[in-house]
Amino acid sequence: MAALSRGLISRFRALSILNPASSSSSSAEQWVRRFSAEALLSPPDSGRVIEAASGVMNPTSKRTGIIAVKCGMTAQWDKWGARVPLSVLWVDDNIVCQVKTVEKEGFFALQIGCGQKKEKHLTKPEVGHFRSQGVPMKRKLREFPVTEDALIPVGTSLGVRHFVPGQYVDIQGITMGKGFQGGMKRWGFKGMPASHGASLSHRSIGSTGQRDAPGKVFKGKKMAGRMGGKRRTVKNVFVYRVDPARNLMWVRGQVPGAEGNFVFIKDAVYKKPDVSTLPFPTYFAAEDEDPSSLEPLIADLGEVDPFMVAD
Amino acid sequence: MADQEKREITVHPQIPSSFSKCPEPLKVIDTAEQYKLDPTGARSRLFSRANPERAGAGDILLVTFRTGEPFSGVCLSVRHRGPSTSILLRNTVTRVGTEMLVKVFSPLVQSIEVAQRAVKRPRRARLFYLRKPEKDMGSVQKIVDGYVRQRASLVGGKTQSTGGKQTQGKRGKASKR
Repeated sequence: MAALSRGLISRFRALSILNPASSSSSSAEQWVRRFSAEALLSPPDSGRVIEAASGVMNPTSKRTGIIAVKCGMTAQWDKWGARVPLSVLWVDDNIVCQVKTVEKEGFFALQIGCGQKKEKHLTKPEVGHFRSQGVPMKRKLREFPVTEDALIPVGTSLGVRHFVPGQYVDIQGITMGKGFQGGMKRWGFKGMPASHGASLSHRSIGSTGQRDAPGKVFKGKKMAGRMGGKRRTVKNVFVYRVDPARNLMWVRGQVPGAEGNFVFIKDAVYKKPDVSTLPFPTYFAAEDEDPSSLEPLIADLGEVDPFMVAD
Repeated sequence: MADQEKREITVHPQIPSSFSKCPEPLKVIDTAEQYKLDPTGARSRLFSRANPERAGAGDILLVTFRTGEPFSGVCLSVRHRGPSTSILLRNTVTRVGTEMLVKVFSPLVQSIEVAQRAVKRPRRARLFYLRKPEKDMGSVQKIVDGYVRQRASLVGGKTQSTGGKQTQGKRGKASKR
């Protein structure tokens, strides 16, 4: 409902402020499609021209995120000899599948697709969507809201070099389901004593409320129940290393979900990266570049040995 | 209905997947990491299951760290996990039972030597029963000191170069006692 009203309002605004007559007749040629061999359908008629070109990032700009597959965890020693727990994420063939604009949808967003899927495994409406956009079929689709200057044309492939080693990202995924769990595991309650007369209630949650007033258990009371299997965001995750040859990304620490899960990676909201260091709106690889020969990029860990500083 | 032809849906061709390039990234990463940490393969051979002469539970091991600080003890267990392989050593230092978990391939570890093989091959892979007071081996410092002395006499010429470190280590131990 909220999205509908938002779309309606901005559409009215677009009608009133923007002059629809100004859209040029040559917009069909300007619509850039890098992956489509031929235009399968005529592009939507809008005056907006989205170019696959690097721009300058403002502090207010919001870049798109990317979809990755969690490969698992390992640990390595950094150059100071400190052990770093690492999650390895595979950015599997990300492509811009749809551009949402104020004129049409009422907001700016990019729909990113990840992986590969066969036509027989998709429904006809899904196939029609990919076909109308002129992009290959994808396993996972996800919309990322962006600012206007961060729009990228449909069909642009996004690689792991979208992120820079040393920056911080927010990673969203679905946590592992843990089933029906008690209050101790689910909420970290202390439980009850093992002895001192405790009988049949060692892992119980204890009291759930007061007496006649209010005479009820408040809503939202932390109790036993289903745990895990929820969408969670891990904030401020350090990008340790980026391997463009294999499209792999090493990040420090844990990431929600099991191995093989999709995770969504965005620039960190709190530990904002330096805008001058980021490729904006994304990293555009050279056409003649051979990705297999690229060297991994490693985060700069500084020149001060953390172990010596402590002494 | 009869005059309506069945329309074929034209779809964009798939781009070849990059999955085949690296089907098991973690395996590749761990193998590369282990090679980087142990280029000669000496340390992986010392704990490899394929090596019949491998060091294992029951052996008395001497670990020297990059700082020159040594730690020795009976090996209680070996945790085989590729580059995260670790050993658990137990000794009695200043009459206090002390255990240390050492990551075998850590860059902070300079050397791992076998001071004494287990007299009899233990029946268990993990000798946690050595923590029991009646089974505790106590301090193995004397055995290790004997090994260090023997090694110095065998190496001869090398005594000069490593002598400083060894005496330093010994002095350190003596002061602890």
